[in-house]
Amino acid sequence: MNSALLLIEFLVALLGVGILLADLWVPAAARKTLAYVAATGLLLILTLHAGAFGPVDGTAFGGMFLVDPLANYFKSLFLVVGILVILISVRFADRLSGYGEFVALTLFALVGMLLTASANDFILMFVALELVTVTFFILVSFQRTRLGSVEAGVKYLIFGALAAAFMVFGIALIFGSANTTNFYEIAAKQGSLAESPVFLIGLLLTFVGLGFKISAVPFQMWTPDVYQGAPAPVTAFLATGSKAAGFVLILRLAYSVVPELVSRWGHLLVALAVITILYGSLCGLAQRSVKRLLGYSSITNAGFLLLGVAAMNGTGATAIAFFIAAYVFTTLLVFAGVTAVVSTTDSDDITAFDGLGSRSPFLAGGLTLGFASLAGVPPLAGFFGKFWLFKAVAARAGADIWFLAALLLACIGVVLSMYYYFGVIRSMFWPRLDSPSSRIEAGGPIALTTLACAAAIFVIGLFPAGVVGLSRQSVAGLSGDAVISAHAAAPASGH
Amino acid sequence: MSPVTLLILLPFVGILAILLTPSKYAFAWRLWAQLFSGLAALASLFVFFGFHPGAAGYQMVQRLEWNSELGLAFHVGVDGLNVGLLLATALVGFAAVWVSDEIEKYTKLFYVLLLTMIGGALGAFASLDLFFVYFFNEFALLPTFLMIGIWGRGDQKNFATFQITLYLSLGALVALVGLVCLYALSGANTLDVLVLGAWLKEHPLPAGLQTLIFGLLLFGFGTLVGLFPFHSWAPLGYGVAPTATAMMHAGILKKVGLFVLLRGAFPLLPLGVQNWTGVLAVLCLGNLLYCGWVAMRQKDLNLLLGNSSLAHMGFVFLALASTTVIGITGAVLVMVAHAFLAALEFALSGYLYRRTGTLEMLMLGGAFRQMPFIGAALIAALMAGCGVPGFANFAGELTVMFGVWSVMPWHVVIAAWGGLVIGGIYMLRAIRKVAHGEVGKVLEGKPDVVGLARVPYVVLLLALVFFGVAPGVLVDRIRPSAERVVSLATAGASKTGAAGHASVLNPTSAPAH
Amino acid sequence: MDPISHTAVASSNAQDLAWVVLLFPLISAASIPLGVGRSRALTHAMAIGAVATGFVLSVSLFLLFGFTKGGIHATPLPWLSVGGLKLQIGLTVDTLSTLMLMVVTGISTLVHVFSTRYMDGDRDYPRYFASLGLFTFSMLGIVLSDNLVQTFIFWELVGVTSYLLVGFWHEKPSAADAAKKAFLTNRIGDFGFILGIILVWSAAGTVQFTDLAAKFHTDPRLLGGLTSLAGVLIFLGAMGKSAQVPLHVWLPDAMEGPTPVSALIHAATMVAAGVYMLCRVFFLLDLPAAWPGFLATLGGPSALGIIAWVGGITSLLAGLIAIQQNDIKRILAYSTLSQLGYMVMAVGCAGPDAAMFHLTTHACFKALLFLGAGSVIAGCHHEQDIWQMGGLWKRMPTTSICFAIGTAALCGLPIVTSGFYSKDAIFASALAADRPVLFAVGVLVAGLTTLYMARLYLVAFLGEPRSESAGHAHESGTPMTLPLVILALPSVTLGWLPIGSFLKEMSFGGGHPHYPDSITDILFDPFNHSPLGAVLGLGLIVFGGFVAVSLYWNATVDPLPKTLGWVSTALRSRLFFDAIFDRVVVPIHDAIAALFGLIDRWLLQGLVVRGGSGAVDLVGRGLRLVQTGNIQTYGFLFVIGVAVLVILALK
Repeated sequence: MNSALLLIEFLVALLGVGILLADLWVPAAARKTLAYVAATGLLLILTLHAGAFGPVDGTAFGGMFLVDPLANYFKSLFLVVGILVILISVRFADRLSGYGEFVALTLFALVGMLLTASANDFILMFVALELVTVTFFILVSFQRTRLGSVEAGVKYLIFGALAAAFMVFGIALIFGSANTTNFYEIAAKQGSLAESPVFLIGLLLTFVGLGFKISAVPFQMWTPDVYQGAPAPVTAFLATGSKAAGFVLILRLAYSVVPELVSRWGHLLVALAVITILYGSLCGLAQRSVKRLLGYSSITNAGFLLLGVAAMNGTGATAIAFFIAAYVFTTLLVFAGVTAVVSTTDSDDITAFDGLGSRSPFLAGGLTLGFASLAGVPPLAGFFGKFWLFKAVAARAGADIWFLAALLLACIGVVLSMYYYFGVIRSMFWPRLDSPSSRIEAGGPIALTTLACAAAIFVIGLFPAGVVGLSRQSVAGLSGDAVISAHAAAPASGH
Repeated sequence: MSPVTLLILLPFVGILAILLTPSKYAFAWRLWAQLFSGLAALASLFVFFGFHPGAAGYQMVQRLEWNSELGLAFHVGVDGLNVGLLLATALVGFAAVWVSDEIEKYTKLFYVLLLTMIGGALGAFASLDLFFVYFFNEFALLPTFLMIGIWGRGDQKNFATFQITLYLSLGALVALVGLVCLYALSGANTLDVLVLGAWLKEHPLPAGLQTLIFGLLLFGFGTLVGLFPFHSWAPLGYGVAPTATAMMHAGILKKVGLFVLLRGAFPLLPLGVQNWTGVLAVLCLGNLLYCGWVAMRQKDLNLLLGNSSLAHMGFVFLALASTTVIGITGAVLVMVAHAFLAALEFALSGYLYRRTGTLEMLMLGGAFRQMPFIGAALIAALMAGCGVPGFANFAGELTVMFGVWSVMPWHVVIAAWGGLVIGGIYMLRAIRKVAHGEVGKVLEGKPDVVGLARVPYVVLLLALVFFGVAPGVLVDRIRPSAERVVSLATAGASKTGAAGHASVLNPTSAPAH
Repeated sequence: MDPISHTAVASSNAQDLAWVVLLFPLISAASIPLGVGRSRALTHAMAIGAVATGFVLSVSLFLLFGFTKGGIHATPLPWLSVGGLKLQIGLTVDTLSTLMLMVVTGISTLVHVFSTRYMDGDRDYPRYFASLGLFTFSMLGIVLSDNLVQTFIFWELVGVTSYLLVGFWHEKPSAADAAKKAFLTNRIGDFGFILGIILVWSAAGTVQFTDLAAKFHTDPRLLGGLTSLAGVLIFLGAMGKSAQVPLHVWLPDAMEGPTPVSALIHAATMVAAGVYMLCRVFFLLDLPAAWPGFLATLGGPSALGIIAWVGGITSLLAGLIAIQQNDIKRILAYSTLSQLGYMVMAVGCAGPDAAMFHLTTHACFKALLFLGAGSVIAGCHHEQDIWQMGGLWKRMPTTSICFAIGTAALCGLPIVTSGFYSKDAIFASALAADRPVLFAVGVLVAGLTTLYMARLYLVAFLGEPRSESAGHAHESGTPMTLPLVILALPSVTLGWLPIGSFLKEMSFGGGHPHYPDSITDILFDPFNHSPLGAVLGLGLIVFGGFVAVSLYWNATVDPLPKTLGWVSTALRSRLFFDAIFDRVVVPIHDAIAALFGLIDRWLLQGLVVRGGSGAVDLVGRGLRLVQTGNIQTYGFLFVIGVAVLVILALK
């Protein structure tokens, strides 16, 4: 057992505690510096993680904790998200009483996410997820003075609890039927477990917990309300980090723990994915609140990612990993702009974005790129992400009409969401007559985030090879392909 | 570096130049755009005349591995199918930039988007990797929506923007599904037409898949072209679009859909061709007749032009449905000719709108007296639009009719009626209302274009006349590619059905030579 | 001389001079907007120079190559070639084309000269001559063409340029409408023409006249069941250009153009193009009748038969209508129609030689008449109603005399006019083709012709002035009178040349043409060659003349409307052909257009797009009702979701 594997998590936690303590001494005026410290710290940790002292694969705590390419890939992502979210949040510092705690909590949530990436056991998985969820209870309701924020916090709390309850129960059932909660051991005997309904129910209930995290239908209701209520930076964090945390676990479970079961549920998953996509895109249509709209958009994207899970082939796994990377940068780019606007106009109504084209060409440009990438317009990252996911599904479409239908329905989803993304772009560039004309300053941190993300989505979009390569090795360890080939041999799936 | 790559790069260099020019030197934005679109025009001339006619295969090829793992490469080259279209794109783009001095707000953004359209279209035509054809096409489409939205005009702007966005994105995505299926299921793990073509020769896809994919491509890209009944976005879209956008989209981007069908769908999926040409043969009548008749109905010049351009597309679809060498050659000819024509038409109507603020034909009139140059050019353009010899369109449509006859004589009869008579009716009515007659109130005292401002119109007119007088220049370049496409598309497929159809009316079927 | 011609001459094959003839008018036309137009003198000098040179060269071409059977080809330019479709721009230089060349360039030259005065003072003087040049160029293109497609190309160009000329005064609604009508009516003909061409090509694999002739000579059944259909389709083209019933409606309206233009278009060129084209492809029309199955059972007539009848009917109806027109130009227009009917009938009666003969003579005297009319109109301050004229012979002697000659020629006054000989040749071919009815029609029309032309002359030139403008009528000077005088000459003499027989021998493979040898033989040729036609014709001319004199000598109003009643009204309203077009043909298209317009607007854009998007939007709003924000609801749905999921998964 070597605890060196936990170095990253440890450092981040330490940084968090450091910030918490520092907060006691630093004068209120200089709180922002804490954020910069945290960001720099994370940057160092990231370099440490990716760089020379790079991770060594292995397990710790008796196989509970696993470090493998997948984990590392996602950990890098989490760290990036952490840095950017903190940068964004600086803009919000004066609205968040006790900003120091806010930064610290962000870091603790980050630790949770890092742990999910390494979870190799249902118990650790649960603990990690709860760490994330609980911190988010606080983060979401951090603007104590704003009713919306508090209400959102309550909703998140209740649903988090509900989901957690199902998950615990599920894990119990799994343990009951498999006498273990370790991923490896379950993977080893999934053949026999597949026949035990108790295990299946347990597994399903666990997925319910994850479904809540990634806000997939039918566990998506909380999303719009919470996204709208929470402080913009927190929403950004929810939309990226928390979702990614959910997906790294789904990826692991689906592709390496119980692939046979999941591929047996292929049609069910495809159906869920499509419903999720359409739900998100349809509800977004007549949306006025941009943060709420992004909530629906995040539902839609969860749907797309689920398509990759349903595909159950190597391309699918790679596509998910790639898509999330693209999605993270795109979403953060959008939220950088949104945060700036919201913190200036104190409103996230679409009218707040009117005439942004002239009020702040820079932010307008960034937002346009972001939404375009979300809509999947080349040469931006979002386009290639969708392309790659579609390829994964298409590979199944030849033999299975369900997947072809899924593709076409997904297209409708894309068009619909495209429509509401353009709705925002539109209000930025061809405003109504009475639209405000006061300038909006981007400010250092936001500008930095915007530039970084914009650069990222261009690079990923124009030269996807790099990230595709990374995501490919990250999922190389998973056994999806083998399964799918076996599956294809005996296409008599679930029903 | 291949001149083609350079050609594609030029507009993007222009974009950089514009982005790096601070608003202190705002005047320079337009100059940059003009400079680089002009350079692109020159480059395209170089490519066009540097191309060796009669030679089969691709020329000026350049292949840059983009990602070998994904089997995708930036692979450009010219053959008969795209050499003319590249020329048209660059020249039309040049003209479009030139006429854009009407733009007042967000000029920087405007020229960036316009150059993006040009560069995207050039890339789409030049690419030999279908992924990049699509990639560049999408790349050029987004600006279309934005430009219509931001600089569009008229009270129907919002609905028009909505409609065009809806149709074009849906069409593009259906097409994307088709391409992705081809990519994922061919087993070649590439969309490079050369590699994929070779591979599919050895391992053809099962008929079912070919039919499926071809259908997706046909309707996906068909929608982008305005294939009946997925056409209603076009006229209204052009009706509200700013001049340059209408020129670029109606003239150039619309052709990408047809181009991909010729570049990808037809050569790669012969069995799909077999199973879909029947449907296409029916639908193209919708463009030829239905859209023509709708055009007759229009009171707004731009709506009329929009519908007539749909009618012209009918000839191309007809030729595709026939899958004969002569027909396909004619089709490409029509595509190039219509690129210039549509651009010219919308440039002129755009000028009229700019001066008068309306395109209601009843309110206009006497343009030929009030603005001799614009009036004359308009008459010329509309004449070209109803297939008058001396303009490239005539050569193309004539060739198509000759080519299709051996396979679908009755269609030729309808096409001739649609092109000669119906086309004549609405075009002459337009001339009568807009150019002839007493000078309309809105036109009184409005200036004609003078001096350098005439350049774009002249360029487009010259191009139309040049290819009208000497279509051979283009046909000699197209022919080998057309032959290749047809031989691949009809591989193994004996078009018995069609031949039988022909024999009804035409006992001694097509000339053997 | 222009460099082009130098090179052409230098390159020792003189037939390439034809290129010069063809291109000169184009060059002059092009040069006018490019600067030449700045000076009026330069403008018309350039234009006249071009056509005049053309005429001279045409004559020399005729002398060089007119006497060699089969003719010769100038170096062609490839146009486009793909698969079995090989198209070129080539020039035939043979008897037929060179004869036509002389007619076209000759008349065109005179019209140009005439125009310098007639159009003097028009603000668009340069545009006028530019259009005239373009028109001449297009017409020459048809004349010299050596293949069907090229014919069609210039065919269309003639349509366009005539559109420009007829609509020259484009601000005048009537002129603009007339131009439009002319173009569209022609388009209907062209529709048939192009289909005919494609049909012939698809069977023969070539569009070159010589190759086609050879192919059809070896195998007349090459077109199988479509032989006659092809013929009729091609004839449809001629019906448009040569204004045969029912596609004749455009021609009278086309009088809206400047009078010299009418002279050019309606005498020598555009309308003659149809007849000329029929003669070119006569070998296609002459094939044994054959129709596709379903028609063959009806025993379809031969293409020639149909052509003959259409021609006959046209000449008759037009002749009748002419009787009751009062606008001097319209009378001439209908007489043109009627004469064209003659020519087409002649072609239909297997007498292309006669048709070309009449075409040639008619070109001269009809140009004379139109220019005369132009002179009159100019003299009477743009008065066109003959009842507002009268007594012009005193004030416009030259015009009156020339017009008289023209009239005589048109009526076909024996011996002293060319019309007599060419007309008689047509009667002869009708008899030879054993079509007595058509022969009768022809002779009858001769009578009608005399009637309405005599009426025109009596009312307009003799008697007393019936209006202010007629009172102050005056000649308009040499540029306008000279062409009349020049044209008067051939109107008289041309008939003495054995043009018909010569063409028969050279171009239409006539076995043993007979050439009159002595003067008397020449003068009285018709009487010994085809006595019946000559005599009957003469008789009807006398009769028609007599009727006219009795009715219109010193008449101040037209007595016919009273005596004829509804017949006259019918004739005045042109036998309702225009009405039929305006009230039936056009509305049908408009109705369909309206219907489809509605479908597009309401079904596609309305129901599908707006409706579809509306529905989607509704669904969206509906779904958002689920997002109540109420935790209980959420929780409930959450649990339901779980249950459903579990059931589905375990099923």
